[in-house]
Amino acid sequence: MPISSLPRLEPRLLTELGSFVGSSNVLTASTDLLAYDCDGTTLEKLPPSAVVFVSHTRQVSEIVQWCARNKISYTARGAGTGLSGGALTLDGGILIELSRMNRILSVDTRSGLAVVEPGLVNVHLTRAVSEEGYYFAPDPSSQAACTLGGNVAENSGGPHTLKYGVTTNHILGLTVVLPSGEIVEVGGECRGTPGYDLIGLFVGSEGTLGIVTRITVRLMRAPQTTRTLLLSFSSTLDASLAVSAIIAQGIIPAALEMMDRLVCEAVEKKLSLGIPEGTEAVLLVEIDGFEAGQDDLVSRIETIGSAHDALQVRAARNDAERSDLWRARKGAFGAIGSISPSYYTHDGVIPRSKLPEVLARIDEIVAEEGLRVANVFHAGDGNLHPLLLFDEREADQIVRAHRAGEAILRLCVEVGGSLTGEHGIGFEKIGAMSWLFDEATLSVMHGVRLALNPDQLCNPGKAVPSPASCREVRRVFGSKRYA
Amino acid sequence: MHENEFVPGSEEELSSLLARFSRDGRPVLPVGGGSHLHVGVTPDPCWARVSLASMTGLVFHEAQDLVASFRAGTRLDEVQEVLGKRKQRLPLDPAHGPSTLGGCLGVDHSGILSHRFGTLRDLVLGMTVVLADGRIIRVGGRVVKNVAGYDLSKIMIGSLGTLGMMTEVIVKVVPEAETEAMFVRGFEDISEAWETALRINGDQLEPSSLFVAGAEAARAVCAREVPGKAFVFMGATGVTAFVSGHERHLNQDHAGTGRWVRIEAEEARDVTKRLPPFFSQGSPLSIRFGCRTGLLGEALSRFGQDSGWVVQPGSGTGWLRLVSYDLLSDLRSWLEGNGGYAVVWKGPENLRTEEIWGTSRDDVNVMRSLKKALDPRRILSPGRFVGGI
Repeated sequence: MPISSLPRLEPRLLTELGSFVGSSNVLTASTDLLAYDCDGTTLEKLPPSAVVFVSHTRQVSEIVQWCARNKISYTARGAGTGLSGGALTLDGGILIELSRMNRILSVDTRSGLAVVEPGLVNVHLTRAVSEEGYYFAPDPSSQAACTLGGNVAENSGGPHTLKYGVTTNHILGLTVVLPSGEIVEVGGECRGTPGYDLIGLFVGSEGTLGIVTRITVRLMRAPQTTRTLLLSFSSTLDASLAVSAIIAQGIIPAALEMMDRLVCEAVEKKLSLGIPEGTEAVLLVEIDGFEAGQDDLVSRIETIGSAHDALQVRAARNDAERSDLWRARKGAFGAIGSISPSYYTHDGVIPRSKLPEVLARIDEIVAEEGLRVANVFHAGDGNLHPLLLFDEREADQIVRAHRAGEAILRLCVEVGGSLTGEHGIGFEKIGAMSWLFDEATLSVMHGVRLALNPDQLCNPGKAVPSPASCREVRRVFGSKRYA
Repeated sequence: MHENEFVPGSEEELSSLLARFSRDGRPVLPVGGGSHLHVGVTPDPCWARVSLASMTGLVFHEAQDLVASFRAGTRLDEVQEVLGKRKQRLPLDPAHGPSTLGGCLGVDHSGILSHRFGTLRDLVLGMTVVLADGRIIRVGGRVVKNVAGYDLSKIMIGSLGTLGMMTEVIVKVVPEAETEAMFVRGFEDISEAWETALRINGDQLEPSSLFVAGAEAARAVCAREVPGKAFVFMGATGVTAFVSGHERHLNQDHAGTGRWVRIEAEEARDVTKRLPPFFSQGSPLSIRFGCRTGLLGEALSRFGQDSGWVVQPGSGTGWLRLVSYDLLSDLRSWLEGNGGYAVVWKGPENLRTEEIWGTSRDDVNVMRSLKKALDPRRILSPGRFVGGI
């Protein structure tokens, strides 16, 4: 976007904004704002009119009230690692930057909980409590950078959610600044607080119902032992069937991940894991928990592997091998960079039993567009992450990547799945919500948004469509994506 | 039977009924099996009852995906029977015969297996709801991971029928375990029992249930002659080696001078089934309470003299039978002063006022806004919920 057309706030408003946090905590220079023009979704870029760094709840409340008085929209942002454009300001609003609110306020392992600020980086929480034998379960691939506030907004998952659940299953209480500026405590320090399950509503609402400024999380006891296995298959069909067989046996692994040939090639280049030649797909299976019975589960998984013609079944022999396997999985997205100039990460969910059929269809869809796809995903819960490989320098390839992405999402919905398992709707998929939900359901969701956010100044245009927000996306991007 | 009782047979029929009541401003009380109508404040006078008794049965069971969908009027024992045919079950043992899935959801009654499997909020993937104005909405979905749109299922669960009527529910199910057992140990000292449970909770075991019970509660759920004044129960389900490993570990690390008694399969399941009725049908006055787990021990030492109680260290929650309503205010002020709560789960009809919820919380206005958005004419279970909702 040319600098001349950047959204700007009047000088009077900037002065007022500075009065809440100190002018050094407000960014307005064009060069600064351009650094905030996107989150992890880099295909669309829109800078905010100002970025304001907050350090406590009261400030957030004052700024939200000021926004309401001046009819300025605002969006909360943590680390900006989101993958659906949730932290973009669509209409020249301001960004409320929470990354400085990153303290751990208290830890009580006896009660299995911690109270933290939203800017705390996910993995920093686990590090802080690991010596006492505890950890925070949701572990998105971006966990070294993403913040707990972002996890709450998106209801983030990660590989280990198969056994341990997603963010909403690990939140006990929230302090929320509502769009009215009112500060409310939701939930508490235990389960079952009287009233509607507002934690369930706020978690995953993508910052559209208020701004979370304090979070009470559940801490989990670190498992006694962990076994990690890598199973290589000569076809994705065999790998997919093995996934179903594992689940059908009643084994709930801590994680059950699949990577296809392209991903394996890319990570093999970096890590030399010794994946056998002819591998079309690998499964990374992790069993954890109480030690007794684990040998039994491991041998059942090995048997399932053999029954599905695995080329190799390998168990990590020690922590170093285990962390290599996980480095391969968590670094897979980065490794793809070495085989393609650009890629577009999708996030769709399907019933796990449809994996063979859907993976085959994805190959066809992508081939029809003359592109390549790399799959690295949470197979155990049917959460796909097809990475569409293309070259951003060729406009036509971008169009084809979008078209393939759309066809894949439609396919997910068609087989009974969902548009997103963990990345959120953001503005990226807002136009696709009508594929999944009928008009009545969408209007009720919108009604819920209006009940808490009547002026729609709080992160407008995200998560739940309204007729206005759909128009908004089209107007801003001049695109007909999903429209 | 209420003089105006409606038993719609389909979502469409229910939809037009509610739309009519909404138009006419006639309040209605949604009911499932009718076994938990004692929960909440006595509703304002309702013109009719709307029952889900005719909306029953399995909609689909995708055994391979560990997902099933039932009409909300299905009795819980029928749900388990259907799933059992494919050697699966819903990890939920909240109640006895007539309880329906919809009813359990309405009162958010999850039972003690929630230690491992979560409460209903963690088991429900999606649902169909008929709103007060007749609109039929389908929220969530049928896959185990899904963040598309607001998760309105969550606010429906435990809403006492004040936001809409659930008609179909999609749930996560689990395979039946190879081995299932419950272990129980008696203690003469309540605080020793509590500390043992807390140590187990902080250990690396993976119990399916973990709770401490006073003598009266323990005897009501478990026929074994185990001496003591307080009892720790721990359930384990999984492969045989896993369950026996738990037993070994309990006897090695958590037995002290005592011993854990092992209860097998059916009998173990009976324990989890008998607990909820002890605080519902069998009790004149029961409290549901919660606070930070680390403080529950102190709560017990103050209020656990009578023996009709159960606490769960995993969730920081508990149940307590009270012999007199007078004791409630002490209990409540201590719990609320320590960040917790105490709610009357079952009490005498004349005391079912708004006081049952305790001191009003500051999020009640958010709840009122939601009620206003979903049921603006206040026709569904009016007055039954928190804050006069």
